[in-house]
Amino acid sequence: MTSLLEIKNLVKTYSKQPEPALDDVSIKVEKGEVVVIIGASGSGKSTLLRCINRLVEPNEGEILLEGENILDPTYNVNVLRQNVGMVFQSFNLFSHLTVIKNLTLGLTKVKGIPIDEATNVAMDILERVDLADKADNYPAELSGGQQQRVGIARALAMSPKLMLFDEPTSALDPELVGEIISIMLSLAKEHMTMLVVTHEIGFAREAADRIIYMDKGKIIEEQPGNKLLTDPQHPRTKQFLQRIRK
Amino acid sequence: MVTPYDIIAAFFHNVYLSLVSIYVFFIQYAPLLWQGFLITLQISAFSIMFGVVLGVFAALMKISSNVILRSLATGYIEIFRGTPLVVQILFIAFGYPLLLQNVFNVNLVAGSWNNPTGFWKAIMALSLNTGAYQAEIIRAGISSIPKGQMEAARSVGLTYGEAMRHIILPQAFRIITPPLTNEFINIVLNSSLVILIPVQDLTFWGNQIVSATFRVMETWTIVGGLYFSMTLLLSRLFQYLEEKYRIPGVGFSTKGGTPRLA
Ligand SMILES: Nc1ncnc2c1ncn2[C@@H]1O[C@H](COP(=O)(O)OP(=O)(O)OP(=O)(O)O)[C@@H](O)[C@H]1O
Ligand SMILES: [Mg+2]
Repeated sequence: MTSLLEIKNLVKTYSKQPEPALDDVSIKVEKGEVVVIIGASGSGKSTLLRCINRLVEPNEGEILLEGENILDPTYNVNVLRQNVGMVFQSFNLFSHLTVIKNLTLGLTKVKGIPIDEATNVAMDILERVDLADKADNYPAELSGGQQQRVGIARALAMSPKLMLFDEPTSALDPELVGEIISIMLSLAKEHMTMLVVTHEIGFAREAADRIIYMDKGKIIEEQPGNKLLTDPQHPRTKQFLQRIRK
Repeated sequence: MVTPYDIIAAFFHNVYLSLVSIYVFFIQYAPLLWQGFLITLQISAFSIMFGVVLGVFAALMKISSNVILRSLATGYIEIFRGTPLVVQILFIAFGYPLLLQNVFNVNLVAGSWNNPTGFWKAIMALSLNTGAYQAEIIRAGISSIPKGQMEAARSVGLTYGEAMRHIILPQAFRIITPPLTNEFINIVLNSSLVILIPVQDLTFWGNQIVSATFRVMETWTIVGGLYFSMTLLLSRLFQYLEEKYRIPGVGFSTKGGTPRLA
């Protein structure tokens, strides 16, 4: 059976950057799996996620989504992006659109769903993230936690096959982190396939089917379940875990 | 003997006489001024409209990754910002048809695209001029929108064009409304230079009336007042639109409040 996502020997070197941001990275993600990536700042985690929905074009390697090479020039990048939802560290809500319009824009413009139907779909999803009462507010009128819930809802609205989370809680005040984590946990329970960059060890421990440690653009260690947290093998993983646990 | 009463009476009599004569003068020449006013209004309105379209296209070309598009936009902007508007107007009025005829062997037909009427030549020159200035304003507006907005739009599956149209430009235009209003006011005022073509705009008729009546002060006061009323209306209109379409968190409020940082 083909994996939902298979990354083979991915290399990305930014121009004017001597060191590669991604150096021969290979990852497999099966349908329904939750894979957590941890690693120091600048280790290439964001670059990896951004390659997967082609916000960044890698230099070498392959990315297969359900067996199809998404880096192929003939592959439609806008179809790819419908299938891959992205949640950003800084939310990136469309600031001139209300919450509900943030969700319906993609449905109407990309999927061509009529606005009434799109609004119904969007309201259902807003209810899931407990924000139905904020549907007509603008992003600036929401708390950080609420904004990130909209960010997740916006990605979910497109019914993606894979959700990418790039440090979804690291721009939030500590007391707001919980509401995002609990939504992500419930997604994990519903077997949403997720690739999550986070330093929320609690989430990793509870939800991860696999945890990957990256450093300097390379995968240093990869372990099933939360073995990487409880029993890290590589000295650099141990060092990193010690540092973030302090 | 002349009493103070006589002086005061004489003063008011003079005022009365001048008011009467200004009134008669105004009634007599109002139709011409009105005609000029309408021409100025039309030229300005068309130039604003075409200028915005040109400005958006030039701005998008200037930020595009395509070298050819970028250099075309840069060339256009630099040329029209770097030469006097008077020269641009004279060139388009007199040089443009000759250029087509002598260099491109086009058969000139008065009133067609290759030799338009003065009215349309005026609009051509003003639109090209303001388009260059607006391009820079719009480009600045676009680059003030956080990068994450484009990334989020693309990651939802919108194309670059759709993202520009639905996400970036609506935010950019809200932010640049004040400098854009300034530019629109400039168009109205600069349109007085089309008298050189000549086009029978407000300034043209002011000039005619002064030559015929020698009423320098009255005429230019009225003409100036008419220009002022147009620009005042324009700035109030855009202030109103800015407030009406203002969105919390996008751009700056004219009613105070803190600007957004990210
Ligand atoms: N657009 C870019 N242009 C040039 N270099 C970049 C760009 N984006 C990232 N880099 C570089 O690539 C390397 C990896 O960056 P990346 O953002 O992927 O790391 P990260 O693991 O997500 O870090 P963080 O935890 O701080 O978000 C860094 O050295 C960074 O400076
Ligand atoms: Mg990052």
